[in-house]
Amino acid sequence: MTDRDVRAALREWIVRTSGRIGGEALRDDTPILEQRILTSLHVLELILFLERLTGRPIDVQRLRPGAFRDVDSICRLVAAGPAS
Amino acid sequence: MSHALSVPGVLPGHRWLPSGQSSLTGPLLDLYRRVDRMFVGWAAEWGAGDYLFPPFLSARDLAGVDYLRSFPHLATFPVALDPADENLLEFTRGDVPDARGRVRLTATTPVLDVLTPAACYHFYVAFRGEQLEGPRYVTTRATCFRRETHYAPLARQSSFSMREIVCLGTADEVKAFLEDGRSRVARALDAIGLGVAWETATDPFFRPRQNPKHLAQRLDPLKTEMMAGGLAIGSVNLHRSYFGEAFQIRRDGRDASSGCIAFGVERWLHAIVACFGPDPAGWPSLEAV
Repeated sequence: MTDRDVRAALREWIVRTSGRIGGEALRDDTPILEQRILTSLHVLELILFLERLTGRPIDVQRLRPGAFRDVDSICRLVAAGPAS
Repeated sequence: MSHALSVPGVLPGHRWLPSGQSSLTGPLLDLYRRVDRMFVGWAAEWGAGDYLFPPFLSARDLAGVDYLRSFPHLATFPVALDPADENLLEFTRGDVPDARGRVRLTATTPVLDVLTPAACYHFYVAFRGEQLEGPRYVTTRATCFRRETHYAPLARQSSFSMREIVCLGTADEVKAFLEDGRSRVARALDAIGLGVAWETATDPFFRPRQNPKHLAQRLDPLKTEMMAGGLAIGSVNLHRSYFGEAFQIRRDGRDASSGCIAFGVERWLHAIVACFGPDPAGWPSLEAV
């Protein structure tokens, strides 16, 4: 799966799950937790979505501050692979 | 550094109770008042309105922020006996309390309230549904109640005093308040000569590994604590629009953001005594800091 595919699927998932932002308003650097586009209750769903999308587990204990800041950050996390 | 002042009663004016509470008099009570006056002075620099709230918060009001599911291990409840005459009679027939000091309750009235766990909750309840015309700065000192696994004099108590300075406004207004607030506190700590380290922290959630809120706080840190010798004597907290959304408080066409600067008054006493010694003559002046 290319970065472009991941990015498109992620954006679509965020817009559908959030219900608070349209696809045209969501930029790749829009801070999604800071603006509460996704709330804390969505974080586990997001992890499960990313695991399904990439077929790789995410080690929650190794996630660092800012890992889910925006679409760009999440794509970097996905690209970095399972060790991230 | 230990969080326990080793010998209860060794401090002038301090008495430690087995229930995890302190009583204060004399020089230590004077220090308590001076510390809180210092906080009130800082709050006045934002023109913060001062409030006094009662000790109960409605459990229904806290449901909007899921407090009882997030922190059931900390919650303390006020409880009363069902007033039916027979129920009260049955209660009085038992050992009250028994030989171990325990009260065996007969039927109780429904529990509708929680003893205040943190001072600033009262503000969001009080301002529910309001449209704010500008940033709102407020302050209160509340006696807070938390169940803990262990207690230590002035450092970890079942009831303690929390002073908070709170800002509700736009995201930018709250961000500016917290930045100014942290600088203000840092300047005062320098003047007092009390060294602290500022450390990112998370709230003490129940079963944090299973709680998405804990994970979200790790990913998006919102709390910075002022650590004096390993003890958090205060914190700077950004809530984003969490409370604004839960209590329908609006600012500038959006859910209001909020943030608070919180101080544990007894912990400041602990830090001052730990740093400057138990002799009141050595305690710093807190005027004009």
